[in-house]
Amino acid sequence: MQSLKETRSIMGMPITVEIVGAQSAQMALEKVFSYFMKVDGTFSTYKPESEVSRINRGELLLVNASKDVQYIYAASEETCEATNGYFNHNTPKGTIDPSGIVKGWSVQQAAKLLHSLGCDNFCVDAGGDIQTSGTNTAGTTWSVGIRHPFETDKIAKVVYPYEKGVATSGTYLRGEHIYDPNTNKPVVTPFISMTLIGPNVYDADRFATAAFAMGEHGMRFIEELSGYEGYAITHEARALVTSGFSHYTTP
Amino acid sequence: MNRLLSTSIFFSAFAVYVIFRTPTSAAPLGVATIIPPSPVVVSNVLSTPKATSGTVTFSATQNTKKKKAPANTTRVTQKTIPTAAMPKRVHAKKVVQRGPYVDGTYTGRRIDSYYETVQVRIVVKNGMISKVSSLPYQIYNGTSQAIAGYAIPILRSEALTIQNADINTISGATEVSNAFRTSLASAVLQAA
Repeated sequence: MQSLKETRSIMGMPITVEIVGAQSAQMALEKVFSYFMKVDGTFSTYKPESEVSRINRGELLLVNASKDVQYIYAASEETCEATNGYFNHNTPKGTIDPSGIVKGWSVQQAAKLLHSLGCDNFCVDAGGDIQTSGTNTAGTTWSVGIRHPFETDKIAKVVYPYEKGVATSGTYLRGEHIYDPNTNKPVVTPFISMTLIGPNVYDADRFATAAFAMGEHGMRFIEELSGYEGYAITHEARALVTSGFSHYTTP
Repeated sequence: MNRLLSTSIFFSAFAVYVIFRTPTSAAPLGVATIIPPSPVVVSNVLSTPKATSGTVTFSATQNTKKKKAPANTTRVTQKTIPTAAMPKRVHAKKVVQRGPYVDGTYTGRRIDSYYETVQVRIVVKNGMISKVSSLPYQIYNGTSQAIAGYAIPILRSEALTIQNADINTISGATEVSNAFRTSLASAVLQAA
C-alpha cells in the first residue's frame, strides 16, 4: 500500500505523520500539519503572542480565551483532581504550562481530523506521543519502538498498540521539568522514562505525566488504573512492567 | 402461638440476611475512583545517599543483591518452615556478557544550559552501562519492591535489552536534552 510520510518540527519537537492508502493523502497531511501549527500558536509558552502567554501575563482572561484554551484548562483541572495533584499545570514560577496535556490532546485531535478526511490508516507521532489507526504500508499492525535510553538509536522494546494511544514521560525533556507537587522541586524518581499505553493518546499522555511525577509510586498507580499499561525504565537499566503490558508486545 | 413463632423466625432470618449480606460496590468503575498514593514519602525503605556539598556519592553496595538464605537447612524461628516448602537454591551458571566499555564509575562534564544544569554519572559493569544517573536530581538508590503499609502488587521487572525488530515509529526519550546527551557522552568517552 502506498503511504505518504513526513516529519516537520512544530511545537519544538519532531512531528511525523504517515498516511497509508488514502486518496487525498497530501491534502490531509497539509491540513494536519496546519492544525499542529495552530495549536502551537495558541498554546506555546515560548511564543509571547500565544493565548497561554497572554493569559500568563494577565493580558487575557481565561473567560475571553478561545474554546480550545478553555477546554484545556478545564481538562487540566480535572486531571489534577484525578491524580491527587500529581498532574499540575501550574509552574513554580506561578505561570500556567499546559504542555503536559496539550501534546497528547493535539495528537488525538489530529487523529480525529484524519478520520474526518477519510483517512483510516495512519500514524501520528508528536515527540513520542503516538496515535495509530488501521494498518501500516505493509498491511500489518503499526509497531512502536521504545527508545533505548543509553544506547543511541537503539530500541529497548517493541509494542503493537493497535487503536490505543502511546505516550512517554521522562526526566530529560527539553524545557519540560516534571515537578513533585509537594516539594515544587524536580521529582525524585528511580525511573528515567515511563511509557504508557492507554485508551487514547490524550489519556495516555496526561496519565504518563502524572504517573512520572509520582516517582517510584507511579507504576503502582498505573497497575491499578484500569485500561492502562506501563513500561518504566530505571536508572539500573531495567524495565518495570505492569501485569497486562505483555498484551501489547506481540503483533 | 405457632404463627408468632414462625413470624419471629422469619424476621430473625431476614435480619440476619440483611446484616450479613455482602455489600455490593456502588462505586462506578473509572478513573475517578482510583485514589493515587497520597504524596507521603516513605523513607524507611528508600536508602538515599547523603549529599555532601553539591555532589552526591554513590553507595558502594549493589542494591539488587539479596541476603543469602541458608540452603537446605531448616532455620528454627518462631515459625518453622518445612524444608520441602522452601525453594531449592539453584546455582545457575553465570553467563557474563561483555560490552565494549571498561568497568567502573564515570562522571561526565557538568553542562549548564538555559533550561537546566546536568551532570551525568554512569556505572559500567561487564562492559555495559548498568546505571545512569543525573545530578542535580537526587540519585535513587533503592529498588523497593514493597513499601511498608501498602500491599502493592510486585511489578515484574526485566533487563533492558536491544530489540532488533522493524518498527514504524518511536516513542520515549526522543526529547533527551542536549545538555544530558553532552554530559552522558563525556562520561561514556571516559569509559571507552
